[in-house]
Amino acid sequence: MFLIECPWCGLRDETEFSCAGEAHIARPLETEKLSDEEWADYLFMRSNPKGAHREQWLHAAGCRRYFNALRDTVTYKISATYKIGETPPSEGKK
Amino acid sequence: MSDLFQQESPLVQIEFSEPKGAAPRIEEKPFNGYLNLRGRSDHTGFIAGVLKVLGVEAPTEANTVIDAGDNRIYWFGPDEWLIVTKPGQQTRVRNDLLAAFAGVFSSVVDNSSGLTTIHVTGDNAAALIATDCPLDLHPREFKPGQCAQTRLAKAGMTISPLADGSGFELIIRRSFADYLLLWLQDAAIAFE
Amino acid sequence: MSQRFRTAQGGRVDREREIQFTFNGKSYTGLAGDTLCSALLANGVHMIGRSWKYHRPRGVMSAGSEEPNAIFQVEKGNRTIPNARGTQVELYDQLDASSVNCWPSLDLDLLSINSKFSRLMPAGFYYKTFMWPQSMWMKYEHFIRKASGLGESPRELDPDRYEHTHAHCDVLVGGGGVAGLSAALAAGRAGARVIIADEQSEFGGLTLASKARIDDGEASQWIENAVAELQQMPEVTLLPRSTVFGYHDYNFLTINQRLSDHLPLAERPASREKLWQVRAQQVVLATGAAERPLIFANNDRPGIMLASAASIYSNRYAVQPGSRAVVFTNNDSAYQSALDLKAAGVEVEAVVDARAGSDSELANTVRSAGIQVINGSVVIDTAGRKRLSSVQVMRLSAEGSSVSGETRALSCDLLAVSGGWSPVVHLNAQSGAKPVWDEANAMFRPGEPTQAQFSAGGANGTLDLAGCLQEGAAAGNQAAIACGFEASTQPARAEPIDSQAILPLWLLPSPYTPGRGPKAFVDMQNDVGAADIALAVREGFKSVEHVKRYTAMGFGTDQGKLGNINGMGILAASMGQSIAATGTTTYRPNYTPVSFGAFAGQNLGDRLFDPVRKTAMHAWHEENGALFEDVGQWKRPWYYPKDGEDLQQAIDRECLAVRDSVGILDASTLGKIEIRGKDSARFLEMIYTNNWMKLEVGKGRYGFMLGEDGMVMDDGVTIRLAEDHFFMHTTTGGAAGVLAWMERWLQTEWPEMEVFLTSVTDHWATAAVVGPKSRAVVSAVCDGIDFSAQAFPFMASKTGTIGDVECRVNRISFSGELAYEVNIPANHGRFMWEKLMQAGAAFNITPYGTETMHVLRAEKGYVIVGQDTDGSVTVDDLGLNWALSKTKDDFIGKRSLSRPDTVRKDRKQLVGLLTEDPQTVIPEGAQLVDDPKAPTPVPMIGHVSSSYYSACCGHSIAMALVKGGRDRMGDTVYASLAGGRVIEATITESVFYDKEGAKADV
Repeated sequence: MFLIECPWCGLRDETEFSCAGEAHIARPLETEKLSDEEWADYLFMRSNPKGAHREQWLHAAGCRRYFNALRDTVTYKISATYKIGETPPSEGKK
Repeated sequence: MSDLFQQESPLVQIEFSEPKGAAPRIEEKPFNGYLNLRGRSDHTGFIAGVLKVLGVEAPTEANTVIDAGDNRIYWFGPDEWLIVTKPGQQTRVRNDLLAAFAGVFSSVVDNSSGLTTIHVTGDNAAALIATDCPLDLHPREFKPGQCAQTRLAKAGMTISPLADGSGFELIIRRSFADYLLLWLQDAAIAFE
Repeated sequence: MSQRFRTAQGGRVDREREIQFTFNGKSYTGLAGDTLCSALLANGVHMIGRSWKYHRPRGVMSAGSEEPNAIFQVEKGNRTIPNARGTQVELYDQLDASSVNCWPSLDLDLLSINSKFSRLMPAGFYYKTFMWPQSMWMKYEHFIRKASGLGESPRELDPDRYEHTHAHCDVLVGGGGVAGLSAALAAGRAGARVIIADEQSEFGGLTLASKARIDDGEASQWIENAVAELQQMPEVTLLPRSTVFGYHDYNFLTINQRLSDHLPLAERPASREKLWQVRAQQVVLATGAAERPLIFANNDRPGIMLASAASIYSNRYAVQPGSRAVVFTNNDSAYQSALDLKAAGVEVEAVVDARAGSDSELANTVRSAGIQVINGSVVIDTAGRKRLSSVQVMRLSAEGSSVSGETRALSCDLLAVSGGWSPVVHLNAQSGAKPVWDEANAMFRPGEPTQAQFSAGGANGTLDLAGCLQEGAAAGNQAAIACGFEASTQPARAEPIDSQAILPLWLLPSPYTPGRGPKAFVDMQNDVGAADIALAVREGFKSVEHVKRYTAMGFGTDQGKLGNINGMGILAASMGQSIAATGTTTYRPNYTPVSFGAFAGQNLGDRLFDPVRKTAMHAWHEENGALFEDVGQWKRPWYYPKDGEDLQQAIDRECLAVRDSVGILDASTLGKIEIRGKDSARFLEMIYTNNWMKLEVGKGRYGFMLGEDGMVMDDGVTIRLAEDHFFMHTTTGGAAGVLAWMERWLQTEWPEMEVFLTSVTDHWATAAVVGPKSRAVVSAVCDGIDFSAQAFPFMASKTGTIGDVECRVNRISFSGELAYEVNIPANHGRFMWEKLMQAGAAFNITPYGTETMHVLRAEKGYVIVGQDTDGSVTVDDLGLNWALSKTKDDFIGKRSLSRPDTVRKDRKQLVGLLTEDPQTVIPEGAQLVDDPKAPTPVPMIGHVSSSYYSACCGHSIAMALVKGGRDRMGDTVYASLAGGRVIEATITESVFYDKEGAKADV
């Protein structure tokens, strides 16, 4: 059971949150100009790394803010959380 | 102003009884006004509007609640607050805020029938709530003036310690209120 | 002959309180403070069960949670506990215990014949023998389960309550022996919030059975003082009878506290167990070490037990675990057991020590006590049918790989065995660390912690009392300091013990031909022998995890606590590699079995298993005979049966009443979201598929929301209340998801948009007043609104009052009838509802529920998202292309509508179905085929999504998703049902009633 640091509310139990998948996937502009492959890449392709993973979380039972987390998919350690729009910390940082 | 005879609490089907043994007291404080307030806390027009109507600035420190005369303002998010008014005052406060916010990006939404307030008091108040609330309720960690949106069992709630240290105030949603009260009353059996 | 083997004095039992209990139907007496096992041993009962596979007689092996053999069915009926470890079952008055796995009785077990053929039933026996032919497995399984079962699950409803609690602490101490107590004292004195949990009834751990001294007093006195001091500390919580059974991520630990199993049935409180979910800043693991046995032929007879268990029964429970003992060891600690047994009045025949010599202080004390020490020798076999009668001893060669010389028989009824000590590293391993093999001390030590955690005492591989006290205090100090406290507790003192190194031994050398001799058991509960492990290696299994699964070693209710380390040693030897290279199996929660009830807690039954959400009119619906349907977590009226009506009769009546006059539906559960800000319309343009910029104030519009994959996600009517202010309706089930979805776009993708969203689902109570007479009803109730068709057209929204409460009325229809949705703050919901009922009485206003709502909308061909769609359906598939804007550059999901898969010609499309027999209703979900007689697998062309009998139409109606369906009007298809039944139907358009839409347009 994770303990997740909401950038607004501080450390809270995982059961207050929901995970919204990989972060930093910007929605393309002018979607009609994209090829099927380009659109499919945005729609379906995710990095699914072993190790550091940037992902979006929602403090669903708390302040209802989305934020980003840098989480290791092997150790489950969340080394950083940061607000939407903030620069992600470097991946090796503990 | 609404006619009190025309309204019912969400907990109309719950029987409240005297606590047995060491079980905490659970009681409803019905019919408060609840206004959801949204705005940008760095916007001068918004700050001024809140100050004008409520006499204080909306709290910007996360998870805090402040008294503003007859009203209380709970931090809900960086651009979201809950204003709790005395019963029947919500329409006046809402209209005053809407007037004060003319031209300012903001939102004031009456949610008075959507929420209700429960007080859980007594020696085992924290233990009762801790039955299924993951928040640390220890007085070292959670003091009057603080509030938190979290969960109780499988429903959301806003909890804050009562100023006199006798227990906690829980603000819960109407549609979950019946479930949560049955749940609390069931959990209280352990303390009887 | 009561308690013949109780010693005259000593022990922690209360000789004043005799306790009656029964075992296998026979009555016995024990003492308060006994466990079931100590009481049975006090009565000379040694054979307590039969083994799982071979039905061999088995006795008490240990005195703790590692016990593989002494497992019982405790109590009968609704409080029965299967596989309870008798070593941990506290004796109480009228306790009723019986052996598991004997048939028909313990003494006469017909299946013990298996034992004679044990060589024919090696590892993998069941799989190899019975899995073929596959079709017969079900029949074999029935017999095998009977023959090899353990305890029986309860078949009645559990009468007990189970509690949960969350807890937070600075320092959680797992284990309450002297190391744990020292840690708790150090952290507690520093002011930290401490929880200390121990699985036993009293704190003190192994030291409860020790005659050692701490701080110049008896160890038991030190323990008592420590517990008393901790009890005085307001921030310290002591949890006896509490097992830390799980160590999860982020220092989240789970503890099961047993509140009532130690009490007579009649005296039990309501709650049986309490599950603690603890979040700890720092954790001290002081779970101790467990002794392991030695592996030799016939090492499983009743009367063979761990040396430490022999000490515990002698010292703590004041029981002679035998009359004549042999102690067999490869290390020093068992010498203390020899002394303990002698002190308890047991004749000690000899200490057999595999080591060539032993001259530690302890060994010499044993010799001076007149006990014979046979060095350089091992037990190679034992005798005795239902109880040990003798052991055979041979000389061990210098390098330890073979035995030689004369076999020497030693007569005894107790063999106290010690093969060394294994730190209980389970929690350390569960927490993510990898235990480290210590070759010199022949033990796995805790691995480098990956969480904020210390190991201390036996759990850390420190086996002497002084070391445990020291490490415990140090860990407690460090943990408190890590939490920001000042801590400097000095450890309690104990005499250091001089000891001599262990001689690690796994499978003992034997005179028997490998694989031919009697069984030497490694996992007693699962009857896994050393030869089974060797066989697994010969058959090609290389990984310890695979060997475990092939042999079933460690899969019992004891999870291999006693046997696994020996098993890994034997496996390593069979593979000719080191134990370090072989590694351990994965340690997983739960450390000991936990009741299902403990996990469920109070989250049971119709009311508390899942939230029951109620509308403001719920009580009215109940009072008026509604039956309810679960829609998400909501309880919605399903239908209102009258005078013995069945579902269909009630629905027919409700439908006709709406079509002919007026009905009323509680629509409060629809999701409601207020949208405010100057960019609201621009935002809706992205969220919905149709156009919103030009919607007039005071008017609503129906819209579809798509996922970015182009599939229908939600639908509903959104009303423009002001230029910058909208009121959105979502589906009942979609409300929370839609709000989170829209917030996500605003917060993460378009933060520049000035839009605020607020959920008001719970604030509004909504009554849909539906039917030709609805205008008359709402006109009579709502003041301040002109309800004329000209002033209040379809899709308009107006505010008025009911009494003196403001209400909002939307002219929306989900039935094809003239209809109004009346909204009022929910505290006034019942008031509004009763006003409408009163006003409608003249028209026989009929309350109706979800079932009639479904029929009415299906008659009109209206879809329900989530019923007629399933996340793979587009707006085009539904035939509703008019809802897709042709002018917008973009909206969520738009680009996906031109993906090759979305424009396939053979996509399933929504059509209507009319059955050949108009009275037949096709079951929803039925698969459709073109030719039911086609050879299997019959190609499936679609499925039925909605299906009802329509009283208004006089025949059944159905909606279905059929491949290329819109081009197949008039085709015959077949619904293929279970049991070969087939229903013939014709594809039609999906609007069945009032196709011109005249009824709503009045």
